[in-house]
Amino acid sequence: MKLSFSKNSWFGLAGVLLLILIWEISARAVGSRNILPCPGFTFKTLLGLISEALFYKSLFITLLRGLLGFVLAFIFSLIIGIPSGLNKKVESFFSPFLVTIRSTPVISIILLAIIWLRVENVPVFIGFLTMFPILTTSLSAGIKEVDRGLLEMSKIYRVKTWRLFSDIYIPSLFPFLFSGLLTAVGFGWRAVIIGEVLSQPKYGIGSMMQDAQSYLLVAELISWTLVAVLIGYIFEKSISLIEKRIIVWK
Amino acid sequence: MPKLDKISFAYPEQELFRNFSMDIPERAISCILGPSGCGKTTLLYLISRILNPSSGEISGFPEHSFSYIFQETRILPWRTVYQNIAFPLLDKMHPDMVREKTQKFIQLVELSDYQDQYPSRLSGGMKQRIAIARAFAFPSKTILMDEAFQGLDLGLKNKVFEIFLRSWREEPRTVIFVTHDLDEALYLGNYIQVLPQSPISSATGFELKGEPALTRKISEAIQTEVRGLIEK
Repeated sequence: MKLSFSKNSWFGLAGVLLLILIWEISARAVGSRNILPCPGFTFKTLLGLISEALFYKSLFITLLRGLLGFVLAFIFSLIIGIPSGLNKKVESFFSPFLVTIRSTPVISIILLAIIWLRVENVPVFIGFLTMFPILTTSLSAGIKEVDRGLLEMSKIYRVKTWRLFSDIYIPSLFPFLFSGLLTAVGFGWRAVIIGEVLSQPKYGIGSMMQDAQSYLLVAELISWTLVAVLIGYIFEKSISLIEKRIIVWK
Repeated sequence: MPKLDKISFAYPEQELFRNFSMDIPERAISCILGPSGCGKTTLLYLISRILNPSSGEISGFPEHSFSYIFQETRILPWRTVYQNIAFPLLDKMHPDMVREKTQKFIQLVELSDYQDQYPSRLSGGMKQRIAIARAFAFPSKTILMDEAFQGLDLGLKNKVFEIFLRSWREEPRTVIFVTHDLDEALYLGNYIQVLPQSPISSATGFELKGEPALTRKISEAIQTEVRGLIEK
């Protein structure tokens, strides 16, 4: 998970080149742009896409949906995860909800959400439902893992209760929070796009993919996929970077 | 004088104290020796009022005025050496005073060069010195120590002892030091109380005359007698 430009990065680069080579060979073997376009043509298509305003609009809207879903999931996970970590009864009360959400197939949720919600909101809802249980579980686990010894020490030294939160609970929560964020954002981002593909709002990366697929514009479909992968990668690296900035004591 | 007067205490599975009385000399280091599991840690919890005796009275310890040095150092991994020592002081005194106290004891425990480091980069002995500085910087009347030097190797232990005594001479407090290690008790104590197996109703006390320190000569007779009591 570490971002470093050491020797290992060169091996990563070599892996990417090999992947492109396999792609090129396969494309030549298939010999049809409508089934598997070659990397060069796909790249040209991608350049064409990013020169259009529609690209940015779709990208922006999908990001916005992801962000909205994330903010909601984060707020709810704070409201439910932290009390669950502090109190066994609260945890038992919420656990059936979390188990249900986690074990329901995403596709069932999407199908229902399409019936219940406006199409623009379906991807937000899906993103929310994907990220919420992951964040909640990691927050409550973090709270449970707080070192009892440190709390006892603070009690003996008569440290004020609010400082237990700022100086003990929150710092010891950070590692759990970041590992939760990494997983949640990875899954959430993909879930938002799946939601868009299936609910077909007017704009969005998923909608563009669905359009491209129905007109057999495979190069365009792959281009959008590359964009989605790149953005997922940027999210992951940013979270790791912020984590390193915050958790300086390790 | 601080004292325990006829206290009784039991956990559901074990009776620890039955009408137990003990005097604790003020501004001296009292070592409490006893077999493990006999209730030494519980005794500290009773004194610091984390637990309450079922009967009897504990008096002479000013309330809310305890420092504690634990076996595990219990320092915050996400705070620097300086911040750890200042941690209990922050909501209790003026910022200038916090700085003064913290600096004073950082110097006494010889961690000035490390004050901005995080504990993960320090050795076990250094972490225990942070805990010692934190205990002395805190304006307490009583310092409770629970097997505080356990797990340090002999070389480190002597250094930490020395630093502890230096801090204590700088600001003498009533110290109650619980241990199962006779040598630690003989080294550090002005007084030694030997506890029997629980339920405990009395302890055998010894006064160790002279400098309370590593340098003091302890008579063979006392050593033999204490050793005999422990092995019983």
